[in-house]
Amino acid sequence: MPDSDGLPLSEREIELLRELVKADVPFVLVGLGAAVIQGADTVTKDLDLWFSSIAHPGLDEAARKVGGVFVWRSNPPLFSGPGLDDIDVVVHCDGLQDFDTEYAAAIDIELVSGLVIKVLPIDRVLASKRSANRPKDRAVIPALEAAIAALKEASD
Amino acid sequence: MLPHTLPAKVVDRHGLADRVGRRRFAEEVARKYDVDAGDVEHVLSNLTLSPIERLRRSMTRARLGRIAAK
Repeated sequence: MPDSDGLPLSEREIELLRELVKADVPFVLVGLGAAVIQGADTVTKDLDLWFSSIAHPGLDEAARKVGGVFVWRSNPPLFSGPGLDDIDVVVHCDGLQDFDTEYAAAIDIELVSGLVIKVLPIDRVLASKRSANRPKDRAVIPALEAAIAALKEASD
Repeated sequence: MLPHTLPAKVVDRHGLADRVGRRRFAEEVARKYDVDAGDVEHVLSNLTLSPIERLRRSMTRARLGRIAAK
């Protein structure tokens, strides 16, 4: 649920991200949300966060600070609470290397003022989509390829 | 590392500030990489927005799609 300021995420979702960063919980934004933030012209319904470990105490602490809970027993685990519907937890990413390797190569992007998060580079999003190879993954490949081409040429 | 914003000098060099310039550049990129020029043009347009604005645009389209599907 977006907030009244027109942000795509609710105030609680933004605060959740701030709390996760503040608690030094290692996570990377993956999936189409990561691609969109880097310029891909595609549609995403939510943000997928990949965590190094769902046992990190900072996940539950962050959720509680924004009035929610971290339901680690759920499969997949999830954040639950008012205004926390558009952030999903990912525990496995097809086609990627281990978390630490991808985390080290992730891009720092300031999502809103004072909130910098790690984002999976768009070429790695493409690799993941190619590996997952479901119809919905295959459908976005042309848009990701176009974005990578545009980014490459525009930066040369 | 892939850039997540376009520096002003890149916008100026490739004439990306207006749609005609973006389309011309998009067609060059599309030919070179065998991708869709329309997709490239939209990416170039997105790159003039901040990351949160790109996200807002995408998620708004998703929500409108869900409403339309009901």
